[in-house]
Amino acid sequence: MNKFFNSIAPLILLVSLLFSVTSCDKEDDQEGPGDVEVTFSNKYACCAINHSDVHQNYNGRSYTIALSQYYISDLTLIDHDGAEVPFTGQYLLVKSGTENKLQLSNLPAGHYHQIKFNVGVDSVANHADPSTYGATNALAPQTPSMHWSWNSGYIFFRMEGLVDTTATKNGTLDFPYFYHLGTDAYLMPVVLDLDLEVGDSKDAVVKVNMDASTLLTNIDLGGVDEGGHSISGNADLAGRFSTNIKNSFSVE
Amino acid sequence: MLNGKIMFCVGFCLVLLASSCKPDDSEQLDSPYNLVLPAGFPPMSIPADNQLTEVRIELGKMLFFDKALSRDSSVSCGSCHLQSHAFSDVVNISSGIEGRKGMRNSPPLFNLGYHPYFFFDGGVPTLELQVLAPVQDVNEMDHEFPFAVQRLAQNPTYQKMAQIAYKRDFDAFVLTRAIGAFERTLVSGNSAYDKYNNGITSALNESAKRGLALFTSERLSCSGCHSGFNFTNYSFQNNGLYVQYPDSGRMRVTTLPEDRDKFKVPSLRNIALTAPYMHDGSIATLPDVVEHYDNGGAANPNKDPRIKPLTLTSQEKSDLLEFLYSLTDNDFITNPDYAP
Ligand code: HEC
Ligand code: HEC
Repeated sequence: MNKFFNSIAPLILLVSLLFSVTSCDKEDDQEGPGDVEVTFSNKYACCAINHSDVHQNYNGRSYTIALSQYYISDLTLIDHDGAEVPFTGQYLLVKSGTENKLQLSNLPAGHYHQIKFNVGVDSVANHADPSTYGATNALAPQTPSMHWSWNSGYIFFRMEGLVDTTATKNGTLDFPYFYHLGTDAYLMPVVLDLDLEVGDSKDAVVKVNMDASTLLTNIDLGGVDEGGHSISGNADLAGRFSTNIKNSFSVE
Repeated sequence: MLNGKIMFCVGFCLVLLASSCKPDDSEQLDSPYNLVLPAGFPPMSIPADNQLTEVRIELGKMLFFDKALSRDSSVSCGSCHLQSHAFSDVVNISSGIEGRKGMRNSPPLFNLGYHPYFFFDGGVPTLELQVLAPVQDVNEMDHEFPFAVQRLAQNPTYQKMAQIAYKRDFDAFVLTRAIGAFERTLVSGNSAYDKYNNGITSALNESAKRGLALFTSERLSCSGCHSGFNFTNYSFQNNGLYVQYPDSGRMRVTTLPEDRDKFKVPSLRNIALTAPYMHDGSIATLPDVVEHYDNGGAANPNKDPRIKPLTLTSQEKSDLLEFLYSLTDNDFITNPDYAP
């Protein structure tokens, strides 16, 4: 045993040396730019959102999530030197139950340690006309609509469902709630840490999850002021909701 | 070798034929539209992507009167905007599909190309964007916009006209542009007042002339808000309808408390035709409107200081009314170009 080890030891050393040389070489001179795919998934805690599931909010009120969809824009990867690589001009409408992804080709090889994006769309896109985009563009008119037609601009985040507003919180889902958040003031920047190697030999995928179970932290949903429609007009509620949205994202 | 050349020529000629044939065809059928503006009207700015042409306007008119825009094909733009009433409605709140009621009075539609924004709260910046609103509004047409476009795109006439007018398949762009083009042609400026203003002094009787003087006087200040050739400065104002409004007006869009209960100043052209009045149709007749201003309105915190008791004599009231009646343009409401 000992003898065997003794004889094989130098070999192991040699092999590992060779390995490190080739991998070193590759990283410094040969590794070309790579492709990155960023996917977005809507979850409720662990799992996919089930539209008929009844959840409980922080103070025991029952509610469902019939719809939760939103725009992602200005996606940017940040490398270890702080250099930013933007996914220029790409807008993603993230829906539940479908594949939502953005792709970027020819990213400089290297290590990326942060991803940032906005929930919503920048003010230029926000004030443009949806009917000028081709039907398959995320910014074109959608079903259900992601654009306010009476106050021209996109709905950045749209969440709807039923809620129990009974005084005793007896579980009856007696009221529809509509949380539509938008307007330039509520563009929601998100920055997340990342550990991503990019290069031509790698399959770089970033999985971003939105956890809907955190969206209603500190929102009662039952009060007159909290069951509202297009809630951007209710600064207090919109502020809490937008903070929750920003905090609902994580990298898998 | 020879064969090859001939083949090449045939292919080449065919391509030439096809490409020259198609646009030629379209250009023959469409031509620029010369928008004639009344004397004294400033030039109208028309978006680069929607210059006026005959076919665009014709297509827009057909769409304006097409009930297929609404989910159950029961309501068209023309159901709430009646030409006989300068494209306003005769009820305080119009009915959408299934008799549904919104919260505002259907305003008249004319000289729209001059408006800096649309709706009583000014939330929509262009005529093209405005089209998205009634189609999707649950109380109006209640139709998902992509579904409305899909349905209309099945109409072969619309497809053909879309190709001629916009050189593309019928889509959301064509729908919004064509209706916008038609709306820009709804120009009204041939009232008795306009004739008077353009030098025919006999076009106004003495009472209307006194009414005009009152209207522009500092004492009444009507023309402080209802100013210029279209009788509006498009600002957002509160004219004291209520102490508390159920509809917060401009504040819905800006969320600013100083905009609470303020509404876009309406044009007063064709005002005798557009009863009932105000954003909610709450004032039934023009004499009632004059009474409202004479009383000075309700004590709303955002009421403009110019809205105050005017102590008008009954003669002054009838003079003011006589002037308002002189703003009716009968050519506009009978113009066959605007009829379906
Ligand atoms: C159910 C009735 C109804 C239907 C149908 C309807 N409208 Fe209207 N329209 C209204 C009302 C009410 C308003 C005022 C809304 C507001 O200010 O919030 C309005 C406002 C407008 C305005 C803005 C005018 C201004 O001075 O700001 C335009 C333009 C217009 N409509 C065009 C259209 C077109 C085009 C269609 C068809 C695609 C249409 N309307 C269908 C009721 C209707
Ligand atoms: C401070 C600005 C202001 C002044 C001054 C003013 N108005 Fe108005 N006027 C408005 C606004 C704003 C509305 C629409 C209010 C609403 O819909 O709630 C309106 C509405 C009207 C209407 C109804 C229009 C319609 O289509 O429903 C008439 C008529 C009218 N005004 C006449 C007058 C006359 C006459 C005077 C002078 C005695 C006058 N206004 C002074 C701002 C003003």
